[in-house]
Order: sequence, then C-alpha cells, then structure tokens
Amino acid sequence: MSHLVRAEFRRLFATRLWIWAVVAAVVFGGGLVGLLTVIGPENVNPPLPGLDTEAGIRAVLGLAGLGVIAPALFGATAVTSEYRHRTISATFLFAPRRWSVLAAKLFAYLVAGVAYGLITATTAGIALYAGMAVRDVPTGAPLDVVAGLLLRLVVAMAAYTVLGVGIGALVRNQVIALAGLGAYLYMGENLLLFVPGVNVAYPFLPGGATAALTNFTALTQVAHDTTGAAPQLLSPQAGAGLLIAYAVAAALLAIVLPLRRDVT
Amino acid sequence: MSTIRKPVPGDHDNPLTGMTKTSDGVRVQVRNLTKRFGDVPAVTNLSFTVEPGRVTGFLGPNGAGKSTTLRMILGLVRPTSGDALIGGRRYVELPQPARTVGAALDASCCHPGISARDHLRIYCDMAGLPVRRADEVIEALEMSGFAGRKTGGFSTGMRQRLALATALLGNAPVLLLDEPTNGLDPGGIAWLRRFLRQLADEGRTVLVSSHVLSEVEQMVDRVVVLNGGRLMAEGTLDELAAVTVPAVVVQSPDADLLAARLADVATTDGRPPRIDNTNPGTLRIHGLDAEQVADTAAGSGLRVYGLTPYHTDLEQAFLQLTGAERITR
Repeated sequence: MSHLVRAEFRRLFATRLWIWAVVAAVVFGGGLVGLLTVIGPENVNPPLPGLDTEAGIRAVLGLAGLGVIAPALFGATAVTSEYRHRTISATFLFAPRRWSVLAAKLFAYLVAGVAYGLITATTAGIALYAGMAVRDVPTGAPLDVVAGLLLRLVVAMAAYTVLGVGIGALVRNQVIALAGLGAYLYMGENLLLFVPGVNVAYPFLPGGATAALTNFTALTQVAHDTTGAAPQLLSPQAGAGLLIAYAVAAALLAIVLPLRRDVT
Repeated sequence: MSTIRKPVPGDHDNPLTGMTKTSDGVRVQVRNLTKRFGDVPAVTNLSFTVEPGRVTGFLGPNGAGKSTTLRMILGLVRPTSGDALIGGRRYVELPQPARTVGAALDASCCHPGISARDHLRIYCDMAGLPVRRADEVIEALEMSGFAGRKTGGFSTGMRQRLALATALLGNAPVLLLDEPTNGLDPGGIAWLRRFLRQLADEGRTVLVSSHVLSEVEQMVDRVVVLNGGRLMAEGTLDELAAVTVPAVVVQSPDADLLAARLADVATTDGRPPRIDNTNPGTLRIHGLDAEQVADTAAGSGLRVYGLTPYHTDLEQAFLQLTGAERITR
C-alpha cells in the first residue's frame, strides 16, 4: 500500500498542476483576504461589517472559504486525468486490486488538501493582520478566534479535495467532471439558495455546510434580504460533520465504484 | 511468485534487456472466454493457449476482439463467461502481477505533461521496484535521448517504445503486447522482431497482436487467428497456410468451356469452386486440386497445355480465415 501512495505523490509532483494549486491557494487565501482587508469590508457592495468587529473578521475569512472550488477541481483531476490520458489501464494492471489505487489516491490528495488549506489559511492570516496594520484598524477578534476560523478553512479545503477525488472517480470524464463540479459549486448551489422552497435544502448541501463551518452568513443574509426568507444554517460543528460526511461518502464511492467497471 | 518462475543458477543478466533468463515459463490459457457488451458479442467461446519460449501472433482484423481478449486476460474487462489463467491463476489473483505479466495495451498511454522517465518511475513505485529500474529499461530500449522530455511531444514510435518500456519494468516472464508495430517504421519493426525473439529465447511467453499479418509474419512462431470474436485458427505459420483451400492454375485453349465444366465439380467443402480467368487461355481455380481439374478436362475432351498447383501465400490464408476475401468462391 505504501508504494502505491508513494507512486501517487510522485504522480502529483510530476506535472506542473501542483504549482498552479499553490498559486490558487495563495490567491484565494492571502490574495483575496488581503484585498478585502485593504479595501475594507465596509466599503464593498453590499457592505459587510468592518474589521473592527468580529462579524467583519468572520465575513472576510468566510469569503476565503468560497475558494473551496479550487481544491475540489484539483481533487477531481486525480482519477479523471488517468481516464483522459488512458493511463488507467496501466495503473490497474500494476494494481489489479483497484480499491487500493483509489485508497492511495485519496490518502495522497487528503494530504495535499490539508497542505492546500494550510497555505490558504496561513497566507490569509498574514494578509489579514498585515492589512489591518497598514490601515491601522483595531482587530475585531482575538487571535484564538482568528486561528479557529483559519483552522476551519483548512478543514473545508481538505474536505473539498477529497470530495473532488470522489466525484472524479464517479464521473471519470474529465471535462464533464470539472465543468459540472465547477458550475455547481460556483453557480448552482448558490442559485438554489435564492429559490424559495428549494432553499430549505441549502444548509444540508456541501455549500451550506461550508458556510456553517466558516460562519459565512453573507450569502444567506443576501438571500434573506432578497427573498424575504432564508434557511437557518447548521451550527459550525454540524456543518463540519456534514462536510466530512460528504467527503467520506465520496471517498467510499470512489473506492467501491471502479471495482466492477470494465476498462476498455 | 517463485512457484511460477525460477532464475537459472549461474545465468547472467542479459546485457540488452538487463533481464535474467528463466528456466520454466508461464503458460497463458484462455478458456471458453465470452464477452458481450450489451447485446453485442465481442468475443465468443474463445479458447487458446500461449506457450512459453515462443512468440505468438494474435491476429485478426480491426474489431475482431483482440484487444477485448487481452483486456479480459488482464482483468480489465470482466468476461461474461469463461476465464483466462496465467500460470494457473487469474490475473487479479497474481501475488505480484506487474512482475508476472508485462503488458502494453495502448500507445497513447501517458500523461502529456509527464516525462517518460517520471512515467516509468511512477510505475516502478507502484510495482515496488527501485526507481533505477526505470533507467535500466530506458537504457535497454535506447530511449536515453528522449526519456527526459514530456511525452506530449512524442512521436508514435516513441510512445510505442515507452509503452513497451512500461511493460518491461517488472522483468516479467509473460509479455502481452497489443499492436506494438503500429506506427513503427520498417527499421523499428526489425528491431522489435529481434528484441521479441530474444525475450522468447529467454523462455518468456510473448503474445503480439496485430491486424497486419505481414508486419508480424517474420517475428512469430505461432499464430492465433481471431475473427468476429471467434477462433479461426491456432498453430504454426505452416499450419495456417495449410488450412487454405487448394488452388491450381491451368492453361487451355478451351478455357471458357473448361470453366463451365469445372463450375459443376463438387469441392471438398461442398461449395462451387471459384474460377478466375486471369489471362486469356489461363484459369485459376480455387477449391479443386490438379487431379480434379485434369480429370474433368479429359472427361470432356478439352485440351490442357499446362497445370500448376497455385500456392496461396500466408496473407491469402489470413484473409481467407478472417473473411476479408471469403466471398466469390
């Protein structure tokens, strides 16, 4: 098993994709948070609470949580690129017990997802404090609260990476997997929030769970203001649990599904 | 593993392949293999054996079911019924599959953003081999010139070589190669022929599929011919040539009359003979032997100036077996 994990890490670093993932983590972490901090959340439209309040800190770091789309897409390439470039035959020849290949990929990508989350969170934290120092804004939340919020980002990024691996293993076609996942996470889920009646499901979808985990209520607030009613998000703990449950379910599917399928 | 393959004591590694000779080979047995994709039969009740120490050609036109059969042998495609055994075990049950069977299924088998060397190292990792094995194979296949380049820019010949290199990583006693001559120039084919001969001489079991007989004719000892998912022939090349119908060439000034008479003569398989008027005064008759033609001519009082058995070549035999020319007779 360990040699399969080693092979997956080697595969991961053999192309340039990991460099782009690091760039994405920095941009959606430090870049986005730095930009918002410097502009000031109270100056965006619709205005968010200022950084001198805890709500403002939560909003800014929560926005970084919207960047989960990148690790999800990154994870989705794990299996789909093997089908796209037809290496999956050789891979299953070298490891005919197919579940072991998927398990190795899931483990490698879980580690990569945690690394992605750490880069996002670290750069976001640095950007937050640096931005507030530059603007000379008093911090609205103590360090332990900020650290906790940043840790939640790490959990979200890692969970979405694993979720992406599972979705990719399920769909297999790279274009469909990436386009579908991207469209759903970027648009679909957020649009659902604005459909009365349907939006009661939102807290139980991955996006809703993420919002609960990162305490990001801006979107639900907008939905509430627009439609007059918005569902109540789960507690952060329940959101984290649900998100991890999604990731575990996707991982199990990824392990079980390829077992019987013909590779032609 | 040791039960199916033993290195010969005192035998040295082969300088070209970096491999060790094996004393006893591993037989591949295909038994009553059937695969249907939905209602479409791809392979029907197929049985054959691939012997160690020989290069076996796996022949048939495109769509004959060759690749599907190879994929069933390798556990990638699940048979509808029947099974395939490698040294008595199914592929998925092999304790060290990559060190027992080397397979090259698809020449487009690599990520375009990965170098050939990294590609091979990944599979070294998967098989639990030291990564230097990748360099040994690169050396043996004379790939050093391009091993560091990303595979996206590779020619078909380079891809074929990389696919073959991947198959050789595990130094396996069994090699299954799907259309390895595709995209190779004549020099490349000659090189592959020598290389496969050497692998077979080391006691390995080598199966090479192709839809072009002439490309593998010089490199195989035995053939398994497939058409429409069914076994058409299995044996040596001589045996393959022997299954073709007899044919004779006859010169006669009464060619037209003779042709009319011959058309009524019963052939061994009950179908009327096929008669080609190749030149004025010359007929080529498939399905009858010289004796039958001479007797018919004599019985009808027709003149015969020449009578020569016509040797159908191997290609003819192949086309006949695979139905491409089954036809007008």
